[in-house]
Amino acid sequence: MKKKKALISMITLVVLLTACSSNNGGASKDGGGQAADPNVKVDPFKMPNPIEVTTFKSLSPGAKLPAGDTVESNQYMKYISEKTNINFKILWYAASQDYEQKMKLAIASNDLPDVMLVNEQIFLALAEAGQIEDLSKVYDKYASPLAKELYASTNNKAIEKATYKGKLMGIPNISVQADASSMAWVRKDWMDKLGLQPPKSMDDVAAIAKAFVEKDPDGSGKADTIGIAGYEKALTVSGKAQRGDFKGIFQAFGAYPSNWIKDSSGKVVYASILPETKQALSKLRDMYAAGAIDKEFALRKDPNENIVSGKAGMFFGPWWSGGLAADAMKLNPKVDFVPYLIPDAKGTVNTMMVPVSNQFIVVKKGMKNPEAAMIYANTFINAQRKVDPDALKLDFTVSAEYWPIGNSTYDYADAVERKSDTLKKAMSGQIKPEELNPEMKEMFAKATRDKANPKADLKDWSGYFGYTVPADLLKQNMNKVYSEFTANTKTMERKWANLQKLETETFFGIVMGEKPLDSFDKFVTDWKAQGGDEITKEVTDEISKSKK
Amino acid sequence: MNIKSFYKHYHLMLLPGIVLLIIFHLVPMFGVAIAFQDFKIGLGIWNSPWIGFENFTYMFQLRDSKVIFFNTVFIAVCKIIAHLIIPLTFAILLNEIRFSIFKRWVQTVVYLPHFISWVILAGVVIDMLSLDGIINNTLKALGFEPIMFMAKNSLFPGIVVSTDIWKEFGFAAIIYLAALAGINPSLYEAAEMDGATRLKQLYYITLPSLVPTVVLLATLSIGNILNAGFDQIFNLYNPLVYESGDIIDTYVYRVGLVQAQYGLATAVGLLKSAIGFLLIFISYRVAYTYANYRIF
Repeated sequence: MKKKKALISMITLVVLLTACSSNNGGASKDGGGQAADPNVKVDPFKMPNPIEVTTFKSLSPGAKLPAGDTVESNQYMKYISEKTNINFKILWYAASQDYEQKMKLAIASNDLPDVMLVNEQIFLALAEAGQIEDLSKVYDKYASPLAKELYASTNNKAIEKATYKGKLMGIPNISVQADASSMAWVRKDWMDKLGLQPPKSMDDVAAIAKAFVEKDPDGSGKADTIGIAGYEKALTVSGKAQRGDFKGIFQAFGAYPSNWIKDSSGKVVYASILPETKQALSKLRDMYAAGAIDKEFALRKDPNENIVSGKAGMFFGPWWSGGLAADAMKLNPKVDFVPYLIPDAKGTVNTMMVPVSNQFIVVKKGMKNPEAAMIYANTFINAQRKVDPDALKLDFTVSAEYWPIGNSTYDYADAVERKSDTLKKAMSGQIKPEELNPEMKEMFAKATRDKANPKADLKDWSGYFGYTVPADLLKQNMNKVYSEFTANTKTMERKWANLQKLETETFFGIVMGEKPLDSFDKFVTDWKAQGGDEITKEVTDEISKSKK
Repeated sequence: MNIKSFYKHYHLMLLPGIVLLIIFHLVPMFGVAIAFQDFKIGLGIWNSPWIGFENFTYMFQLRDSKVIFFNTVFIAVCKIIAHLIIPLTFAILLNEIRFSIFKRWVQTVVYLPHFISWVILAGVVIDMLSLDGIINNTLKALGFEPIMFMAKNSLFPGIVVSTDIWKEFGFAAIIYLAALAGINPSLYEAAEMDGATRLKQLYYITLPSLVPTVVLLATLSIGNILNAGFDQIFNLYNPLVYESGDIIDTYVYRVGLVQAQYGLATAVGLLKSAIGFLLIFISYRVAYTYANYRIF
């Protein structure tokens, strides 16, 4: 225990990567609205009397607040307090990874706050241990029309995810499916300078990256450029596309490492051990040896550093990476990142989709006012989707992490494509600006200002760019692959750390040329022998159980 | 009467230390119960099922156990040896300098890194050893191929040991300097009268006088043989050097806290403490038998 304490204090010192915030606006046409059904007596947006609710909070080190504001007192806290009569008391807050560990320890000692935001694994553990409140009735009685509409857009999969043994145990978020796609963002100014064509295949990507390294595209006279930027987590890609990971490269080979998928015969398998993954690793290995990938990617803790400083000519990232490009532009106005979706050898674009919900607001068992969680969620959704006129007065450049209960997205599953269409129609005059909802009105204003004076205000540019070129890429036909299993099994709890170590060591070793490519085959045999087969069987059982 | 109240005074001064020891060292000891449980967060210590020694047997079956154990002992032994020799040599050399301003200046400069945390120093080290860091730039200027230091299993233990020495040797030398200052000057005077050279004085007076200090420090460090330095390695390592750098503590961190396997992690930690206790017991006996050294 003593050592554990020492460990924890060490961990708190570790500098963490900033979690990305994908705060999309909403294109809600009818707006959900403040007006609750008059037949229902309850007000889904306000507690009758002021109450105090405790919570924990995850904050990334990079999230900034306006001068004078604090974590406990800022515009979001005040907004919630005024709108809902709920005064949040933050027991403690910590950076994301520290947060998770501190929270796990709090759960272990049954020292829960009234409400908190947890991931799926912890959600299931809490539900199993009976530490959290059943919210089924609360949901029926209090969920706002907009909330229900958003959940309906997921075919109620979100609600299913939050249901444990027939009871709704948490309020799930809704991930925007567009966050799954990993695009190659390439420096167009460099391509033009070297007379290169946009990439159409992974071979083109490799060739362009190699040229970026060898042909001195920045004209500095020194070999100081990087082809594809990456960082230490580039080879472990399970969920959403992240800036600096290699999800896009894996998917161009139909490989989905770290995920449980259905193979061609319909059996559920762990994709890291499939031949496609070996192919992708082989390509990565060649690209690394040729110098196309950042030589030191495995040692980089920060995925953004080389991209912002303008050293890297390419990176893989989601549709909303424009903000990162804008940061690079701030330092050097010539920087021009353009996204491409790279298809596989057959010309199909593969995408590993993201789980529809991965975060859940849970309520401690025995809390007096469990409806406060739903009232909070309703109000938060109305503010995030900007259907409440008062919410427009908020400064949304302040990180959404400062909302009382963390930062998660509640939006239509296809929100990006929807908004992109609306924006296009508004720009071409098909929709009159006054018909737009407040959120789209704001985006339209940004786009118009930027059109008149391109890239004069990078905040304007990055505020709408994601809904143009990147969103259009997402509208093409894609081979959408779904993860079959995202929870934990019994053997997994025990043996997963070991298997993951095996996987990480092997993958990094192969890509960086420390191990031969064929050590992949040994990895597969070892993986199966050291518990992989057992876990696969358990996963298959769990899935068939849940289907019954 | 007088003597008794005098002692009371001292016992009172001991009290805060004892309270701290109880709160932070003894009370948490009950948590080791987790090592014998299939510990589930949510159920807590009281309700988690007891599984006896299963966590321990599983630990020994792990493919990584041998590697982790070897790394831990190897790195720790290298560190212990280097920590005995280098500060000792440095202190003796420094002691020979008669120009006291320079002596103090050197001493201050070398012990400064002791006060900087590994979080910061690791950043400095990684930066210095990166492909465009100062060391590789020097290598390139001399016509050598650049080396990816932090990604080589063959180099990682060396980097760990040498950077640890760099951080600590100046501070460790203080103890030796104190011991050196405690040697009776008349011994040197007598030796000089007998015609002993500087080197002979070192061999016949300085080194024998330092033996008790060396034995004490060696004894104390053997108890730490399984502490290869979590904060240092955690901040320096990456997946490429797990093979040579993953030690018990970093493994416990990954398994226990990241993967939430508290039972297994506690078992590994408990075993580590038990071995450490055994070793310090043995080394104390050995020191008593061979060097006639006793703390009590």
